[in-house]
Amino acid sequence: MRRYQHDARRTAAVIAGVSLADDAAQEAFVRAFGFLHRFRSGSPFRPWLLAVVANVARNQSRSTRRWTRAVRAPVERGIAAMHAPSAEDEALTRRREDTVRAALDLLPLRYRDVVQCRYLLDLSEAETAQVLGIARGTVKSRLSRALDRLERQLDREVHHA
Amino acid sequence: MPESNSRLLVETDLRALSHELDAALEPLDLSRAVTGRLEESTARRRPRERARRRRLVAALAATLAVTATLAIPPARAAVTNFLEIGAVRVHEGPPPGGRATAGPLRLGELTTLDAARARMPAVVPTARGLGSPDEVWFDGTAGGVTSLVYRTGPGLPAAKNIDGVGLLIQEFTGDGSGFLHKYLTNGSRAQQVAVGPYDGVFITGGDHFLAYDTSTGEGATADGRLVGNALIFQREGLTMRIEGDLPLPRMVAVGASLR
Repeated sequence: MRRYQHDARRTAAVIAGVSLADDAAQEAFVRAFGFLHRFRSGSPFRPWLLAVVANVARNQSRSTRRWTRAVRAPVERGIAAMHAPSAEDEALTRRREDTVRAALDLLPLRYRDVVQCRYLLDLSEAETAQVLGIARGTVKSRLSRALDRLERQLDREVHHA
Repeated sequence: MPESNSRLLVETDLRALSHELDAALEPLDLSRAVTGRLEESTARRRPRERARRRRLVAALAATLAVTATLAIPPARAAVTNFLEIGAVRVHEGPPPGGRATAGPLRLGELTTLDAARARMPAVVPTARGLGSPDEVWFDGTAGGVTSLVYRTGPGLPAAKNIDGVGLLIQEFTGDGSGFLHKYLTNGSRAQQVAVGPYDGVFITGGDHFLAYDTSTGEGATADGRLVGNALIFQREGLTMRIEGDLPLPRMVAVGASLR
């Protein structure tokens, strides 16, 4: 369990928000234990477990809350405690991060899920497919469209700035 | 800036957000809490499972004593709370919350029979008059669900509550645990039938409510839908569900012809 709990908490945080992540991950481990007979021996365990985590987190998070809003306050506290290179650099970095978060939040859920699995959770294409319960080709096409949208959105922001 | 650099920058930005996620999660070991909950739940589950088995055995014994072709009208809910056929659990009465309305058909992703068979041992009907399915769908949850869709045509009237579909055959890799829930509402009733060598249940008499479980074991009644006639049976590790507005003998023939 210790081996997978980091991934489980991150997955839950992405879907349900940081404040619900630990409860969701804990619940998911309990349920996964009860549903081990549904796990196909020989297939990879991590994506199966993360699919359970994702389902539990989705059920627990009835609101439209997104992790980007949930993490912002603690991260800001962390950054404030660090030695910042310069106020100007920090402001620029912060602005870019805000823009990326905002662009991510604008994506339709089906695209956002794929992007989060691939880049935030660092799952492979096959793992993403299993966790989200969609075909691998769908992961590929949704990711491509999501990145196109993000690229366009961020370009617009840059030009606007 | 060339497009490839722009894409690279977006990807780098997204990966940077991943570090924020790590920073927001404080170090924590969940193992003790999870172990404690598992021990509690094991202690609770034993008497509950015994009671569940008793109810099921009582229900089957009572119904078999009445007739070989068994009708379980909602009025006899006192006899049994549910029947379990492979991955399908049939409940007496409405779903939790009393919700029983029409909802969309959710079959997963459109695919091909070969692709579905690469992921689970899907079978197709060989009954006369049925060729290849018009559509094959696959849903990866709970080990896999393959759905075969036959559009309406001669001898295949439209199934209730599904536009343009004459027959829907769903195959679940269930092994006895409830994954799909059927709630007997609106005067619907369950009738025990034999599908070749397999025992099954035919639900008829009115629309019943169908809800899928999440892979975590919770019935997702919010995504459920109303269904007309349906035949359910279990064979060789698969739970089969056939939905269509066909008479029972025809439904059984289709079920028995699955290869």
